[in-house]
Amino acid sequence: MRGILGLARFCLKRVLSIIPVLIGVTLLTFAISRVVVPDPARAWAGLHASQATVEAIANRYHLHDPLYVQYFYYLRDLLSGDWGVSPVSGQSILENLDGFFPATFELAIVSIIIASALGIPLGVYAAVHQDKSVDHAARLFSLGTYCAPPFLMALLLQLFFSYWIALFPSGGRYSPFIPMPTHYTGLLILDSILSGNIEALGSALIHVALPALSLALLTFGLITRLTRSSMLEVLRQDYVRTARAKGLVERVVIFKHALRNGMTSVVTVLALLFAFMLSGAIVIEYIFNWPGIGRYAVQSILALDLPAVMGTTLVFTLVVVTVNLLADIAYAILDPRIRLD
Amino acid sequence: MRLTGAFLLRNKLSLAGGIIAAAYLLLAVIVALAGEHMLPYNPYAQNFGQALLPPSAIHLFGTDDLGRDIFSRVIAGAPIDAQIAFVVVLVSLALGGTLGAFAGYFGGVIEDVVMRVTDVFLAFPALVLAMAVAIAIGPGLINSMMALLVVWWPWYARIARGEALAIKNSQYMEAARAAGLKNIKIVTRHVLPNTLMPLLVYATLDISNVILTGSILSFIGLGAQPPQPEWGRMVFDGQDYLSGAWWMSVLPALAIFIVVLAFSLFGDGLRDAFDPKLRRR
Repeated sequence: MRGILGLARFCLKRVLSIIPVLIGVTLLTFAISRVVVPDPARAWAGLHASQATVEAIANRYHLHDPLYVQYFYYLRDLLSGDWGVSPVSGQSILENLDGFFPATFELAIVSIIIASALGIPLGVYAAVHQDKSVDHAARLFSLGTYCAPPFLMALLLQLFFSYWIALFPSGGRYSPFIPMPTHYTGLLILDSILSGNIEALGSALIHVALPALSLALLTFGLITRLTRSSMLEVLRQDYVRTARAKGLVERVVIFKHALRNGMTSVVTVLALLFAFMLSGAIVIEYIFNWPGIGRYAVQSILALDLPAVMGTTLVFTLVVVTVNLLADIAYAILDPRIRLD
Repeated sequence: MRLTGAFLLRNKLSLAGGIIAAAYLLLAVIVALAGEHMLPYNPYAQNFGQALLPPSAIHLFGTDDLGRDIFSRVIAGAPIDAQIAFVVVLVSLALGGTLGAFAGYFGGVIEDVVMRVTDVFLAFPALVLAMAVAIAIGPGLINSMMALLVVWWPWYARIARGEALAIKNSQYMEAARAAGLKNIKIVTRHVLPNTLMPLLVYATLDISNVILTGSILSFIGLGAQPPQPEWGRMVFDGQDYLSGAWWMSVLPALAIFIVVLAFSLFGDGLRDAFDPKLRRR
């Protein structure tokens, strides 16, 4: 089935196939929070809570009931937006996650932009000059950055460009001395642009620079490698030979024909990158004191705040699953052959 | 194997990676067996008078905030990550791979159930799931190994199932069945070995991933606990002193990077060598 109908059918199938996975995900998080944890009541009540509080928590979460009953209440709570209260901070976990999410989202977007700006041209260049020393250098460089632990990049950048040469702030998302821009989206860069506040924009950009660069350096290697291999594949295709035979200038051949078709793989890669990027973001947000979900996760771990950690686990996983779903759909839009599946 | 050797030699980076990886493993084994006696300084000895000294001829990597020699600590910590990586990869390969092989060969309900379960595990980003399990069972070296195992086994189950499917339909298997071999014998004598061997190549590449994820787990406090000189933990401890004593964090982080890169390069080369498409060059 071609056309819009085929696409709609594909989308529906993909969305439906996710539901069992999501149920499985909640089952696993439930198992970790109730079965694997030695004393779930205390974990939710707080390590120093009184016995009375622990008992109250145990009753509230039905911890004395059989597991399948507990799971029913667990799922009900999740779906109704009750993700619990952190025993450490006393705040609603979902509210916290909601508050920190825009910062992580903004960081991820800026990082992907930087990573693509670095990786795609490098990948194209390496593909066009295949097997020459430039290609080998690019491959080694991209492998190197992929292998580097996230904290290495972050600490080196912080050391060089914040401590030794005081170009960028060593942490935070925004200057405490400049009033925040009007709140439209929660994304400070966008909000500053929308409210025409240059000073705010400057502060937002200078704060996001090092964290986003750290994250981008981690992931651009993947983009380079995959752009290179999909370009290589595409460059061998018949229509490229035809374009060359037609006498088109080489640059036109590459950009107009090869690149557009190579983009489909890159789109899927960008989505797969997301999961990788999230893991890196956890460490990088903590090092740069970036107020996102990653930093919240690390702080919760350091405070042994199990409910908060489980909340962040769920959020991260939901985001990854959603992004992968969107990538599948985007791939289907770009490549109609997929929809016939 | 002559073909593999020749190919690896041509790929010098891969060989370099292999040498560094082998040297690291050798070091880890020596340290694990010989203990701290061969180290320049006792990695646990605190000496506040010598705290935060920069790298010098006396202290190659400098000292940390408690006056401990960082070079000795980095060397002493080498076996920790190696241990974690090998245990996690080998056990995941053995358990996950066997499960996947059974799923692929027998098919039907077993295959469906195994695939669904791996789907769920693989939906989680690796680090995130490891963090969740690790905080539930508590920090510590052994616990971090278990957390990583929970995350790692599905990959091997998946790959093994694919390999087993391919073998199941091969003529080799038809011959075995025609010869009248019982299923169990087929699986243990033929399917498992042929499934698990290709997994070893993947496993070599994977060691670098486990070391990386394991070091991040330790960085956020869920791995080996102080005063054990685990590299990721050392990076975390040095953060507060970054501006004044960068060597505390940067040098252990570089050590992790070099080891991960070495295993990655070697694994890449190994994978290329076993790739039938490339062998024809």
